[in-house]
Amino acid sequence: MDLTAFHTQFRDETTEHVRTLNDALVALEAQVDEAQRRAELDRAFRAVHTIKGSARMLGFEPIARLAHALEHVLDEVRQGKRIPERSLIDLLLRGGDLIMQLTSEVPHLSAATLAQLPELLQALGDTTTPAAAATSPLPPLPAPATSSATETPVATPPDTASPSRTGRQTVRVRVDRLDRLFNLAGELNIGQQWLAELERELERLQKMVEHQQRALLALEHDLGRLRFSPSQRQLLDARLAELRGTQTTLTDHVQHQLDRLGRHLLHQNLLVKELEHEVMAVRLLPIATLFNGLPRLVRDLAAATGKQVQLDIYGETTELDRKVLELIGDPLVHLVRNAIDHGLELPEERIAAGKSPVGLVRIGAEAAGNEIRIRIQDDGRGIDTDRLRRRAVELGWLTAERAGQLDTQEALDLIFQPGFSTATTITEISGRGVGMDVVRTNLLELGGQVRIDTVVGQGTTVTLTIPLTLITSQIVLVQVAQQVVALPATAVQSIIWVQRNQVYFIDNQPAITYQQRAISLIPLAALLDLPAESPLQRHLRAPALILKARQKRVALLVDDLIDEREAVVKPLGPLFARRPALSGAVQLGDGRLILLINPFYLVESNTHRSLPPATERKALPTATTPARLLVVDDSFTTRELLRSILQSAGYDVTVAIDGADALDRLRATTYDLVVSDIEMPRVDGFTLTTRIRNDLALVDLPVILITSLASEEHRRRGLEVGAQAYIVKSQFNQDSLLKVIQQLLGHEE
Amino acid sequence: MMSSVAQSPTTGYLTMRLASEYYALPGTSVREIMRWRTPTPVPGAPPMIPGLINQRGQILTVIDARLLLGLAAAPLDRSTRLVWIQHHATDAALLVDAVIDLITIAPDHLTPPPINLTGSAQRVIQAVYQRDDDQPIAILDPSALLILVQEAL
Repeated sequence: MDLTAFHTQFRDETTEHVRTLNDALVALEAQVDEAQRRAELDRAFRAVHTIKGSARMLGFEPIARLAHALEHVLDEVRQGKRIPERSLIDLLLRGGDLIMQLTSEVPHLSAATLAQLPELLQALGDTTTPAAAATSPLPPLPAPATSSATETPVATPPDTASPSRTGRQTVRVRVDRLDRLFNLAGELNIGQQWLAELERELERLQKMVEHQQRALLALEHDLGRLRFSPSQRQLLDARLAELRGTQTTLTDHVQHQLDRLGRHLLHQNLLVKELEHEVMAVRLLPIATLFNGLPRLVRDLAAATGKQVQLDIYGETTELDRKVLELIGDPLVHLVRNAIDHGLELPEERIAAGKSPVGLVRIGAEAAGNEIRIRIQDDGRGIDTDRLRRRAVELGWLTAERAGQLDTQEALDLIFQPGFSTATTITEISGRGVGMDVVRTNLLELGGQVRIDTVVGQGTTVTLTIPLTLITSQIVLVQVAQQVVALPATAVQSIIWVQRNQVYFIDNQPAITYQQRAISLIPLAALLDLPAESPLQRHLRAPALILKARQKRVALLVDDLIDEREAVVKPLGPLFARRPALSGAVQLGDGRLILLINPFYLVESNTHRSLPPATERKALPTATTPARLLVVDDSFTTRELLRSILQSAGYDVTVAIDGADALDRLRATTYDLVVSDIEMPRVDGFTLTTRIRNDLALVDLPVILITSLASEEHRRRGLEVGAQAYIVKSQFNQDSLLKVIQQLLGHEE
Repeated sequence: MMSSVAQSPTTGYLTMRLASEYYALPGTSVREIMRWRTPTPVPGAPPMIPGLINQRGQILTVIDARLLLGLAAAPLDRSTRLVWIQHHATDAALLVDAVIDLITIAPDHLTPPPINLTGSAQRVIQAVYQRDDDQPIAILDPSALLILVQEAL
């Protein structure tokens, strides 16, 4: 029988409960009011109790044992037998972490993770024999008593362990079903557009009928003034009467049908809007689901960096689409980490600067019109833009003269360039310039923007702006060469007409002056590799779109503007995963399918092609042998995909089917870099990395872990065991992978 | 993990004609057969990807199976069909010259592909069914086929 649905559900539920546990423990530590402490303690207790119950039911005994031990300790705290001092809270938090880790491995708990269990149980004061847990390698399969429920994977068995659940009933629904609903609601919307088109056609028909009626009256009038014999007159009158009759019927009929369609359309529009609204609402989650993890993160970071931090959170109830939440989770964590690690000063520095020793980090969300704004604000040292300029010169990206010409926003934009980092010591991935790149990539994917405002000595504010709805997007339709393409309206700041004689050249690149500044003018057709001459070669003037989100402005030249409208964007599917510039397709009312272009990716890859200018580029060592890479993944598809990406980037690639296979190959041959999956049979990615470092003593061999495990804990663990980079599959794009590889191989310029 | 056709006693296959040769896809990977319609071209895509179509809300990448297999692409005619194939989360529409039939083949009637295959044929042909007194039918592996396309994009 298929237990996958149960396992997925268990993972989801337990993740939620561990989050509650963390939350309650951190709050418990900060709380002084006795009643409040009591409430937090109860919350923590309920959470572990529920985890224990479901783990038992599904037969994951190690998880149940750990939850039981935690429950036991919490109970003792409740009875006043133990004091919840810092070390005990730490221990409980670690317990939660291990539960998370075990849960993420469900159903096949790895021996490596289980090995951590006895020590923790001992520390928690587990009275039963801890050795037994470690020696049972795999949990027994769940009893088949639940088989009747497996037929309906969306239905949830009643959660008996949470007595607090009252009120309206809830059902868990698979995300792909929600996506399908979302998509179908979009289809209906398109259908509406088509009906509206039909209504306009009918109105045109009505106009023609009216016109004909007037012509008929005029004809009648004219005929009345002519002379005819009585018999001729009689015949004409009969014919005219017949025409009048038909005309009246026709007029009535058209009017009637138009009324009917109009009423139907009005009614239907309301329904479709309502449906869209509901479908969207189902996908909304409060941002609190992301923010809840922050107190813990801030606490740990403050402890690790020796800084004092006060965290201030607002707007937790702001609701966002779940896809948005998914994509901004990592950027948010990264930005908070930056704020504490790089932004805030040490207490003594702060006192010396005349500030309070406690640094303030404010994180909040608010809805503003059709957008959601998320702010991460610190009162730390701020970003020194001169240092950014110097760094760009050091990296050879810009000449000193050019760097000096950058204005503040352009200098800050450098932070988002892959491979740019001013951190003097590279401690972990955030110091490698990979992070801010991901922040922007994820935001672009959502049609959002990132903005940095900073004052040296006073602090930094990062603002993420994200469109509120994803069901329909505002798009701009343009004609490029022979094709019509769409661009997200959120990406376009304004549309201008460019005269041929306004164009001049900087470094052989066409440019125009817009708002007193020189901005590059790029024909969109050239970016799309469409064979066409520039529109300005054929016409004296042509429209151009000024792009918004990049702090550096670009104008895209197109042949013609067609329309701006609301549309449903449909994904192109996995086949186009390697073409991020093609972000989807939209269907117009007439059934035409139009490609949606994300202009930022296009411009980005174009800049990379031309930057740094060829004259400044240092000659690369010629005729080097390609670097040898080892790709480790148990999935055939992923393996082959990685192989082909890396081979086309010019690397010599060997593949291994799991960690054990990889170790064999590493013993036989030398490799320059390893790219590995984490979850694999026999030897997993963490173990592989550990063994590369310890058993094979390859201390310097770069290891990149690619995984679907997006949790902070796994990221930390990956870095702890000695991986140089950690890439989450959901953010996977080949460019960032290739950049990381280049950096690690020391090929970056 | 290598994907494979389910080894049930007999498996259904959709047979089709590409140029003058016969091919088949496991029935489990075929969702629908559609008439040809002009797709929306994708800038920068290779000739074997004529573009995209929308089938009831699902965007499908059209793949010219003839070009993919290195065969001659005859002009489209009344028998041209698009075969909606689905493998895991990937959907695509395969352009074929004609769809012939749905047949069942027992696994022991399948023979390994000839060793002299080259290029993409070597990667996407997973078996051959030799019919009595008739042209052989090459069985395509939808997974390998989609990977090949992904590489080309």
